[in-house]
Amino acid sequence: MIGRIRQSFALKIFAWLLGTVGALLVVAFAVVRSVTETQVAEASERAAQNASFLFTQLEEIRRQEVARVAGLLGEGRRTLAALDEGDVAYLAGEVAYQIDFFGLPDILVALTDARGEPVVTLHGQEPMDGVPIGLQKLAERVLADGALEVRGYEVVGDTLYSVRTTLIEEGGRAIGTLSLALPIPDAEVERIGELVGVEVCFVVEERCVAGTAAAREGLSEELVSAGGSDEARRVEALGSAWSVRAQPLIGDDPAGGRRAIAVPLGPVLAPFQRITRALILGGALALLLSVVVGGALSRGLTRPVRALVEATGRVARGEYDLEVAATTRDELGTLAAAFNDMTRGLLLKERMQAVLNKVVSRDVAEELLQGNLELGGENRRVTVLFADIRGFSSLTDGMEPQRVIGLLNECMQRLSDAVDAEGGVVDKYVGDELMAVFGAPVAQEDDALRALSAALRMQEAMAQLNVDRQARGEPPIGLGVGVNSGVVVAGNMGSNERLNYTVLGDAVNLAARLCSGAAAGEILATRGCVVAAGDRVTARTLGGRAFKGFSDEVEVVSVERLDQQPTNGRGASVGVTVLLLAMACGPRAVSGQGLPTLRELGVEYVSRSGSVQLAQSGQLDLETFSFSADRFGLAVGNGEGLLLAPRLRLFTDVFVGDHVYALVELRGDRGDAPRAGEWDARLEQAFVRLGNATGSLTLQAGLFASPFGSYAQRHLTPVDPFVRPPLIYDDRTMMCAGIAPGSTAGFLTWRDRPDEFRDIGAPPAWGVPYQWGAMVAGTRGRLGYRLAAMNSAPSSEPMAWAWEGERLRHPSLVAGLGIALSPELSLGASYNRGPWLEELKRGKLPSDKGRWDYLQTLVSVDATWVRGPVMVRAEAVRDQWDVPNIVQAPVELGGSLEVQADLAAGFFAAVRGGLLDFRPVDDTAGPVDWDYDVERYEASLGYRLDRNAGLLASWAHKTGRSTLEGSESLLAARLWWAF
Amino acid sequence: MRRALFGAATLLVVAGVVMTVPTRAEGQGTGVVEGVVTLHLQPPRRSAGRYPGSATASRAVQAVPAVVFVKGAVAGARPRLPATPPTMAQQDTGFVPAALVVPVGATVSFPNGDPFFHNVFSYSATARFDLGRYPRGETKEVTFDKPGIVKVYCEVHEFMRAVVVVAENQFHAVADAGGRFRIQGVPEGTYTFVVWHPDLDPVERQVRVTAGGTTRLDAELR
Repeated sequence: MIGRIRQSFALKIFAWLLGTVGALLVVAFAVVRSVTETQVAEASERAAQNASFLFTQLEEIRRQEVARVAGLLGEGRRTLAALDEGDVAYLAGEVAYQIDFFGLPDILVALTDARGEPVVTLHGQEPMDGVPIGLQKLAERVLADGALEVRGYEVVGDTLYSVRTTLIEEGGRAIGTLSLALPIPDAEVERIGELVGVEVCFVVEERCVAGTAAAREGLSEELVSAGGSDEARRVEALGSAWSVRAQPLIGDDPAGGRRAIAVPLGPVLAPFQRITRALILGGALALLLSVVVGGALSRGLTRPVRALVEATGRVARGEYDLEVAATTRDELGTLAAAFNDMTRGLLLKERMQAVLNKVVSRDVAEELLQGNLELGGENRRVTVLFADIRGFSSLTDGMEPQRVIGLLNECMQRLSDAVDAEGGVVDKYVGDELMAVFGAPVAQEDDALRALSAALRMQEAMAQLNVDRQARGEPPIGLGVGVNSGVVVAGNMGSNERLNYTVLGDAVNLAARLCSGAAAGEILATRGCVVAAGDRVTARTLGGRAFKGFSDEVEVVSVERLDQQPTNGRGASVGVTVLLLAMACGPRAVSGQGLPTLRELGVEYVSRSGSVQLAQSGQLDLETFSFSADRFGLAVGNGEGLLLAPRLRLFTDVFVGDHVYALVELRGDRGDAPRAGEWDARLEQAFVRLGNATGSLTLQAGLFASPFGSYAQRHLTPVDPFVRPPLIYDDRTMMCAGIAPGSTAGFLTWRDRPDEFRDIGAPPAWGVPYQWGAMVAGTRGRLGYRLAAMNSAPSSEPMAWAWEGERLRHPSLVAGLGIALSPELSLGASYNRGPWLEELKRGKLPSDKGRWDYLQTLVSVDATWVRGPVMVRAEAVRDQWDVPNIVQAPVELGGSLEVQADLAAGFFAAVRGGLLDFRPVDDTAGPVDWDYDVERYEASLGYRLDRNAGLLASWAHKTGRSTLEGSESLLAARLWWAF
Repeated sequence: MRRALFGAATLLVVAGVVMTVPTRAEGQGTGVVEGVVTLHLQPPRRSAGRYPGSATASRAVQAVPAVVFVKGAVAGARPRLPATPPTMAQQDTGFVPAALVVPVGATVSFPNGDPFFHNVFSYSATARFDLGRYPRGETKEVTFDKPGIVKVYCEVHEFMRAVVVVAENQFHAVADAGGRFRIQGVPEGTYTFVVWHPDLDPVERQVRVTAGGTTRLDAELR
């Protein structure tokens, strides 16, 4: 939206400015142009007229001269008689005499008789042979037409003559004709041209026969082609502009000859060209200026507007603590100031509401703000909770007030967090006591359950606080809690000026009494309250007790724990499994001959001899998990009890001859053990294997699955009948690779703090850890062996360690042996020992030891028995941890037994049981198991659609570990397809 | 009377027609089809185990010869079940023979000749079976009721494979090491012969068989 503002407004300003300036320039240019044209026309017209006038004058003078000569010649009696009688000699002498007399050396004279026969022809005083044709023609015309005088122009030789032919008659009788032709010299034309300032050319028979020098040379073409009409034409010649026009020499007939004039336009145009140049320059400057000014103007306008728009956006998001700069003093400044006032008001309002929320609970604040500020109340069924810190006074005896309040607030923060977590309302704090109400002012159906959950949370929070206090050497703090449900009066109590939302009644008093009677760490509730909470609550009956102010005895119970709620993701998981089954029927219907693999489709490279082969393949797994709780082994749900975990693996196999094999595996999934919220893509394997022909010795180096145990070989292959690995490889213990306990006592409390440790704890051996390492392995007859150095501990999450240089000096040692006693029975033993601690996030190591001094030692034996359709696998494991600050290394024992049966072709079922037994660790109070034992039972069904695809569904149930970790169950399904 | 006469005449005519219709009895006008199948095979594919516990670096997948058979049923020549049941043994970590053609309804036995277990199975649409694991000397049997091609594998050894072709007639052969085959006793007529190999595109050809003659069928599979 902000972009659009800039676009349209600035654009508008630009458009207007540019438009105006542009329009002005265009008008100016048009005006200049038209004026120029007018001036040109005028100049040309004027010049032409001047030239024409002068030439006419000249013509007149010439005519008069000729007339005089003609008169004398034509009218003398003797001349007439001589002509009549044909006295050539006399006539010639006479003409010559007259020519000489008048001083016309260049004149042409031609006398003809009445028939038109030439009698005398003279050029100057010399006789001429022959008569120029033009003169003859003129004479004939005169005789034929009987005209007295005919004029024309003739070219004789190279000179243009102006000819006048008259009829000589006597007494009405034509005797002959007299033609007098006066030359028009170039010099004369030149002079006239100079006078007028034009170039002239006399054009006779399409030739420029007389004219100014320039006319004859450079402009002759243009002048000759000037046509006959008197219209001016603009031509370019000799480097400048001319206006050319032509006038007929005789009358209106241009055929007889034309006088063409070229008016130079240079001087006429020059000033206008200067004006045009100035206009262009000025125009460009004006445009530039308008752009700059336009930009500045628009920016000046849009920037504050944009700032305002942005500020409103922030206000919409809830940020009230801002100000818009009001720099200008115009309307925009006023707007900005008004905006700031508004945000200040909003901010104030928000602050007041925040204060209100602090003083009363949010729900009550909502009610109050809605205007329910009346005194008075209503009857409601609620659950009331009182929590009291035992012995607070004695605890804080002698402490400074700051520390007292600090300690109190620390406790109250945790307690009120517990109340908030369950949707209750903290009514008030009275010294070291807290009162909370569940079910008012907003009604809740399960207020009793919520209250009891809150009470349990409170005790747990205090227990955790006490652990920390103990670590600091401070005495623990005890909390007594009392909970009761009943009908109370709820509403605003007090006076008009100061009121308080609270609840009153016997139920409240009873809750308070229960609280007083509760010992440290105890939660006392009435039987009725526990019953109302439902059957998830486990409580111990303490019998009837009498309380002050209550006539009857009250049945009191001590609340112990709350069972976890099964989630309703179960239905979804079943649905997804059914869907997968349905999807699987598709390929089954199609496969028949087998779903094609990439290799079969030709995605591979095979050298000519076959010794070098590169094959591409992959496997797609679609797994779904439905949890009853948030923790099942390594795979973790997302709280809603359903986890969808697809997994894509891409393999590139490289074979070189019989002896060399290399593999690169790329994997994309939701974590090596699928976890909600994670998506990961990584290089999973990249190794090279060299083997001899018999297989008695192979060397393998790179990134590959750790060779410990019997599970790695079958995981994610069709041979594995379960979705999750066996318990030993799948269940998190309390051992955290990044936390060092401070003492044995502290360590032994970890098992009761699953929230802190279980999620990041390590199993005895990770599902399959892929790590960098090198391995020597082989098979000789019935015996197989492997020896490897791996960059990991057996329990380490595969990507937990990045490539650590120092770790290379402390690899884990893995050794394994296998023996095939008979075709049915194979036995194996495995050993793994290596450092398991990561960079510590909590706790400290003793000063004399380093991270690499703490080793995990894992020993396992396994057996496989196969016969017919049945397969039995068993594995037993002993795992020992070196833990910082703990003398006796904690140990756990694990076992797993699995039976698989093929029911029909491709259809199999399996059951499995697993056990983890945590051995006790010596403590001052006696030996204590360092984690709770756990058992897991599983059943699974599988169907092979094809050689490359299959479906698997398994159900697992794990027994509860402690009061805080109930039993869990998991429904998992996998659809896999290898391509 | 007339009706009876008419009926008898019809009966006679029908009987005559039936008796004179030539049946395709054995030995009456059969020919031989023989030839050489050339396989343009690429070098055998290798496979290897991806997880620890694999014995060798890699192994080549078992080679399988070509099979020649007549497509579809041939009238009057229903396949006879062989006297001795055909066997496909597991020997030296391989199937012997690698290709077997059996008539519909035949039972094939899969004896284990190795001192360790194999797990013979097939998920083909024609026949789906999983024989489980049994020791040396023991055998399991599978009856093939539907015609078609069955690809046989071993679950334990990824590089083992074989093919069972269930034919609707008895005119078939497995090409030998040189690619040569010979099918005898084919009745006169035109048939569609199929030359098939699991890794290559099959070739179908119309072949005319003359009584007493030898028809040559050479094919190249790519």
